[in-house]
Parts: sequence; C-alpha cells; structure tokens
Amino acid sequence: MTKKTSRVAKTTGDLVDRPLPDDLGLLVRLVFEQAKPQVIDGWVHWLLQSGVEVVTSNSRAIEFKGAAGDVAKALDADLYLNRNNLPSIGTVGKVIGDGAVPPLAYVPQKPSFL
Amino acid sequence: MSVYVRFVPRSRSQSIPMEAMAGLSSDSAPTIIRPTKANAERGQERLAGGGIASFATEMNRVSTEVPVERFAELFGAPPPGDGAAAPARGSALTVPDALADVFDFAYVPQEIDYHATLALPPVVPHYHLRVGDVALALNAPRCHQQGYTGKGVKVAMTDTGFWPHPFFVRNGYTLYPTESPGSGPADVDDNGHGTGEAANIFAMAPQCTVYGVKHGGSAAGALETAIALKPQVVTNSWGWSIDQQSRDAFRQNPQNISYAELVDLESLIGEAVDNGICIVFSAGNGHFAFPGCLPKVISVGGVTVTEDGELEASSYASSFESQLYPGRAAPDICGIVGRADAAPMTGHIMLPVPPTAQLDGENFGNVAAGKGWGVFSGTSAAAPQIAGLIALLKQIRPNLTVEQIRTALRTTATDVVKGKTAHGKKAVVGPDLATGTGLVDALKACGYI
Repeated sequence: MTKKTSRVAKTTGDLVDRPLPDDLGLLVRLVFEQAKPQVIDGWVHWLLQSGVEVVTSNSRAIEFKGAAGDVAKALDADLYLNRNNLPSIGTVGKVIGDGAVPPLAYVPQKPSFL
Repeated sequence: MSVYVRFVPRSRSQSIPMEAMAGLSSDSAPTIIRPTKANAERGQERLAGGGIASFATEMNRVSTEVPVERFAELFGAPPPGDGAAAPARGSALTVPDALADVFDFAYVPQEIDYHATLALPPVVPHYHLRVGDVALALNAPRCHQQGYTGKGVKVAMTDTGFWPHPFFVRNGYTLYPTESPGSGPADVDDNGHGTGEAANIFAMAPQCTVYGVKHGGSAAGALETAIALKPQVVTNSWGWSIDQQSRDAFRQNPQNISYAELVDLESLIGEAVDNGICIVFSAGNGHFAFPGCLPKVISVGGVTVTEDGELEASSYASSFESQLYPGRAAPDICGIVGRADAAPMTGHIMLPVPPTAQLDGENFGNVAAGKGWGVFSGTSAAAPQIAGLIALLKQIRPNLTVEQIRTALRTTATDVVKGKTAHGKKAVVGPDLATGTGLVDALKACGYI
C-alpha cells in the first residue's frame, strides 16, 4: 500500500523538476562504499519492513522494487522526474549503522544494445 | 577441462530425491521444487571450501564447473565421456554425502534437440560476411592452427540473453547462459542480440568458455554477476549516448542515466580492471557511448571490409573525443562492422539468433525470415571479436595486464586509411580518431606478446 509522503520540487536552472506519482512502480539500486556486512543486513531488514521487495543484495549493492511513495519514505529522500524526464532520487537521508554514510541511490536505466 | 554441473538445492519443506522426480508432472514440479536461497548459499559455501567455484541463479539453482580431476572424487563415478574428449552432457548424478543436506539432486545438463533452426545460415543475395569471414578478416585462422584457440580462458558477455543455437552446438562451442538479478531465464533471448553477437567471440576463440550473462534489473547488476564469475575478459555491447558534456555539467544535468548510475558503473569497472579483468566495450553506432568512453576499458570501433576486400572506416561506427574524460578518444582499435546504408544494409555479419527473436531475418531483404539467422553487426559485433582475440592472448600469456593487452592490440593493428565514421571522422594514414590504430590483427598480436 502506498503511503503519503511529502515531496519538494527542485529547480535546475530555470526548469522545475516534477514529482513522481506515489504509485509509480520503480526498481531502485543502492550502492554502498565499503560498507560493513551488518550495514547491508540492516538496510535489507529496513527495506523489508518498509514494504518494498528486495530483489538482490551483495556486499556492495542492494536492488529493490516498490511504489515511489514507499521508496521515498524508506530512503527518506525526494523522488522526482528531472528536466530530462529521468526518474531521479535526491540525497538519501536514512542512515543505518554507527558512522555509516548514506548509500548512492538511483533508478537504473535500460541501456541501448549497440 | 571441467564438467558443467547444475545442483538443485533443497526446497523449504521437503527433500526431493532424483528418483522421486518421475512422480512429478509439469504442473506439480514447479510447486514442489522450490529451492531456497539459504540452501543455495550453504551449498555454494561448501563447494567453495572444496575449491570449487560456483554461482547461483536467480531461481536458486547452483551452477558450477567441476574440474575433471575432481569429478570422480565428488560424485564417485568417472566423468561422462571419461577420456581426452570433453565429457558428454545428460547424466544425472548422485549428490555427495557432504552436500546431501543442502542439494536434492544434480545433473550435467543435456544438450537440447533442435528442429527447424539451421546450423548453417541461409543464402541472402546481398553483400554480407559469415561468422567464419570474421576470423579471416582479423587474421585469426593461423593462430588457431598454432593452438591458440582461447582454450582455458573464461570470457563473460553481458547482453539480452543467450539461446543455445544449433550453430554453437554443432561447432562444439561452450556457452553457459547465466542469469543476473531480475533477468529471468538466461537461455531465453527475445531480442536475439546477445545470442548473435556471442558468435563473434567464438569466431576468434573457438575453444574459450563463454558465460553469457543476461541483463536484468540493472546494467550494473549484470556486470557484477559477470565479474563475480572471475573471467579474464568481460565484453559489453551496450551503453548510453551521454558523452557530450563535461562530467561536472553531466552531474548537474544528467540525461539518459543518473549521475549515481555513472559513478556506480565507473567504480565497478574500475575495480574489476584494477583486479586484472580486461573489460571491453563497444564505442557506439553513432552514439557518444558510455561506458565505451571510459579510459580503463578497451573501446572498440568499426571497420568495414568492402566487396573488393578493402578496409574502410565503418559509416555505422562511432568515433569521438570524450567530454566526460578529457584526453580520452574512442575507439582504441576496431573490429569488423558493416555500413550504415539503406536496408538491407551491406557488409554486416550473418549471425545466429533464436528463430522467434526480433533480429531473426534482420537485413534479409526479400528472403523469408524464421530461419534463426539475421544479418547485423555494429560495434556490438566488434567488441566480442576483440574479446575473443584477448582470450587468445590470455591463453598464451595469462599474466598480461590490461595495459599490455591494449598496447599489443594497438601496436599490431592494421592501419585503415579510407572511409568516414558515423561521426564524420576520416580515416587517414597513422593513428586517427576514426579507427584508433585500425583493425586488429590476431596473428601479429599473438606474435607481439
């Protein structure tokens, strides 16, 4: 179930980023820099509690699926479409683990096969 | 020499021994056989403890290559086809006692029966190359005659899927379709790109082992899966056209991918290269391709072999100075790529694809499709050709560094002095932006190292 979240529209130059619909399904990848295993485990536990589906995790990254509203709440981050229509995630506010830094978060894009 | 063995871990609620399989129907099997991730991981740990590398698929099956000399010790029987020849597939195996609490059964996958799809390509009445022509054009047959075939070298390729085409089976090529997170079955290739382009590796290195990693949720996830297999080479025929602004400008105004995705791929590729894995990328087909522009990758462009046997810079291939990485020019060197002319395009390569794939019948003109072949190339073909050549170099000198490989390829390439690329760059005498140092020459590269 999608939860209500507040979202802040950002400006980039003279163009305004637009919020994503809360119910839009997303795959998100979190990337950690030299995280301890307990930090990754803590994130997986937190994400599962947050109502999103963890697809995979390893020592460096976690991929999970969820509605944009749930993702925003789980990461404590703004989600928006940037001026180039790219689904984007602002700085992650959620921190797990003593002295840990927030992971990079992004919505992976399909590449062109050349 | 090794034997590809697939283990099926225990399901959550019950053990399904091999002999009980006969009682399962196609309806009941998927509901009863539900291997757990925990058992897959425990099994992998124990295999690793015994010095046997393995990888788990998304569906929690565990695939491994068991060295022939360990096979008898593990399964209490000689390997299928014991002897000098490669072991045959199709044998059910008794799970060793030490693994019986985590794996229900194991088997050597059977070869698939094919019906209508042809191992030989159909005749198409306009100018194109066949897979064997690629080896000739890149001067590889004499390397093969000298025993440089890529034997013992692992090449990973990340792409749309890898269907075990009869062309691969008849040639005795070793291709292991491999799932990445969210990819679904790796031997399903609706597009045909991965299946077709993989043939370019085998053209150059017919005895290397190819792990075809299917893309799933993210490109980084597919690359991670490939790198975790510990191959000597990873080849990638994909990217995004984003290298038209500085890194700082891109960070402020990302297009096609986010800045975080760029950083993720940079660090993943950088770490792999620092660990000695050679990462090859296509430079693009008129794209300003990232990651094909990364300084640490071998960036591959295209040269066309004309109807008269001459070489010219491919009008389909990219050539550009990177804005993201100042001082970097793509490509480093080139493989074979056709022209960007009106359909049916000429000079491209007849490649094997699933008969129902989107690329089946590509550039066939008036010839009927549905035969399990298509005519296409692009720098997607060139990158795996170079990966195959690198497999030959790694067979000869396993400790070659990525920079030694780049130097060998660039130093021995054939200069291309005619033609213009998709970006309008002219090939001239000597190194140039159009083709780097030119078309790779396998025999010279093998001799150089």
